[in-house]
Amino acid sequence: MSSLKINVVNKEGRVPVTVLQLIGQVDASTYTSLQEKAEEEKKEGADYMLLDMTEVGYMSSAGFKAMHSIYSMLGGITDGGKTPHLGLLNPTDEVSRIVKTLGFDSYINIYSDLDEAISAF
Amino acid sequence: MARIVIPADYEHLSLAYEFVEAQAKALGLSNAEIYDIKLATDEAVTNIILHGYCGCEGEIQVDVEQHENALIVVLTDCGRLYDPTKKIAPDLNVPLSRRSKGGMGVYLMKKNLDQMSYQQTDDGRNRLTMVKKKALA
Repeated sequence: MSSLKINVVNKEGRVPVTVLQLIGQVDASTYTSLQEKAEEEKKEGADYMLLDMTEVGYMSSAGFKAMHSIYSMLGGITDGGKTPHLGLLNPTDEVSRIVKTLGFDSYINIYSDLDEAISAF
Repeated sequence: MARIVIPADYEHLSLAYEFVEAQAKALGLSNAEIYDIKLATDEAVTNIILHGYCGCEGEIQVDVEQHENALIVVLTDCGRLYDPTKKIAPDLNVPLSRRSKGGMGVYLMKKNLDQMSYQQTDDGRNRLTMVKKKALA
């Protein structure tokens, strides 16, 4: 059975950023735990989130559905550009390819360095 | 040919796609090709659980054939008749903020597989055949 562990780390940049460190696989059996954790953090006041994908070896469309929900939940969206509220850190080559295939890279910033990501919010 | 039969529920979903992944690795597909057929299997099995069995109990048979230059995955189930090849792809030109949250799985299957075909068997089962070719060296 798939498993997904989510650690929450709070970082301070120009704004407070909630980092969700994902460890495991994101598929139809686990994606709701990502959505629920993000909703929980939003209720606690999180307005800026970074999904740390370093330890995600596999993600299906269910993971992108969760990402889409988080993107919508955080708001601050314009039709023309990337959201200032959500970022991705270190997706694998294969996950990056799917991000691009689905066009999510036009709306969500992707970073390869944690400090760079935090300071960009 | 290799075969496993799994219960049609999310708890056993990864058994199906990890089984296909192992076969793809054994055939020597590239990492990208392995990901594509693994993902397609995941999306197809997820759709069978969701749209075919609608939460009811059932089984999904996963057959994998290794050919010299391709991996063929055949999924057979007794759920409600469902042809994923007919599902309309989401319009990716629509901004994410106004895009529907569904339909991405079948889109990725069509995009990343070399062939995908559906048939209803004589005894009324769904059969989905997915082909991922190995790139020539």
